[in-house]
Amino acid sequence: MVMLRLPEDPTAALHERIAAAVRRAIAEGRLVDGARLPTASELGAALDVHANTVLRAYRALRDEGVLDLRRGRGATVRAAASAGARVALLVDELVAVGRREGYGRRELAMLVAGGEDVASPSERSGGAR
Amino acid sequence: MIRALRVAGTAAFLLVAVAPWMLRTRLPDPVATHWGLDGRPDASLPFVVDAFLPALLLALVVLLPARALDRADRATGRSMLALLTAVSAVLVMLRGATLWANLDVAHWSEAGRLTPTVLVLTVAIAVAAAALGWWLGARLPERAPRRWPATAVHRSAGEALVWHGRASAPPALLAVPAGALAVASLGAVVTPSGARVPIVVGAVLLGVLGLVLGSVRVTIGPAGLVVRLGAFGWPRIVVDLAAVEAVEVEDVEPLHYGGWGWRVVPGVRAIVVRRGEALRVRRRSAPTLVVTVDDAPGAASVLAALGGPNGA
Repeated sequence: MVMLRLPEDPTAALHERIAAAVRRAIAEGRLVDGARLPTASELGAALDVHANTVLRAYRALRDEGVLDLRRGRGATVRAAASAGARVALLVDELVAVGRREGYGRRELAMLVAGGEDVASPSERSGGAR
Repeated sequence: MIRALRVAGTAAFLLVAVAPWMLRTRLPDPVATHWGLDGRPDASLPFVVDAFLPALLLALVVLLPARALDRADRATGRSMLALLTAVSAVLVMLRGATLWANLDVAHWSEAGRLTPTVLVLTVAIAVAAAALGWWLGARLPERAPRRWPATAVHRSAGEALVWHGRASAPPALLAVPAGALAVASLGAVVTPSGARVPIVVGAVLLGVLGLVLGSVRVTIGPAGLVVRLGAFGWPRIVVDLAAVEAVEVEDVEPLHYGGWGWRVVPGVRAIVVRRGEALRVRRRSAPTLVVTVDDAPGAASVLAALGGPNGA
């Protein structure tokens, strides 16, 4: 069983939203290792989008090492995907929260790396958004 | 009374299985197994095969299906019981008649005639047995399928949900057509060549049927519900979200729909590949659709959320 959630996001392209939904399902543990996703044409029909759009998302996920794509077998979640996807999801969330709070990606990276010279947003004149 | 019938069925099976062996010294080998329209024997089989086949047939078409009576609702159970008693009666009668005809002859071609009287008698007893089964079937308990409404999963405004799942027939169920195939192939080897073509055609049809009805894939999304059957993903059933009136989950008992496969009963179309949880969709101006699928509650909760007040 596979359940995907595609939040409304006017800024993201459809194939990116699909890929993000798969990543999120893996990170949240709703898609376990070896789970079989619907075929591109099945998912496309369910979302009323072209199968190629779905295939583009699946290929991107394959290149990330999240999915195994095999002709005729469809897409399956790779064994090592869960851990990576969970980290990727947390990074996405961190970036989103950071953006709201006025941190740029570089500042966040320095925070993660353990740097000490990052000023808190309130001490700065104008946060770079 | 139902139990008495079950005991009778088992006794009939034992009788059919054991009788040839008890009479072995008085039977020819091979034994006459087929009689022409003139009533004379015109075909034979080795003793071992003839002793084995009727018992196998009885086990496959009577004893195995009879186990399902415990789960059948009354209407289905009555028909089943009538059919099973009739088939058992025919098998026992024919077994008795062929053994009788072969008794104490030196060669199968000298076996006694099977007269029309025997056949008429067999049909009469089968009808009586069917009536008895039907009458006894009235005592079967009434069973209603368990079903409950779906609880919609949370969905934010503008969020699209997709659910995908499948269900497969249990391997044991696929073993039934496979077993029938094996028996048919055996039959094809020992029957005259004229009968081989229909047997092969029947075997191929059975195989295709197994491939088409052996599994199902269900996809639910903003574009609606799509049910794809079998290995080819065809045929398929498409339901628009706008056509969905109510979503439920049902614990399907195949016998309630008359068996496995694509079932058509008044007001309901059911895709039954196994027993257990199924998605049940009441449709506007179309029959209710029941589809066996793993995690049917999950499927129902997503379909309910998509069809809900948030729109799709």
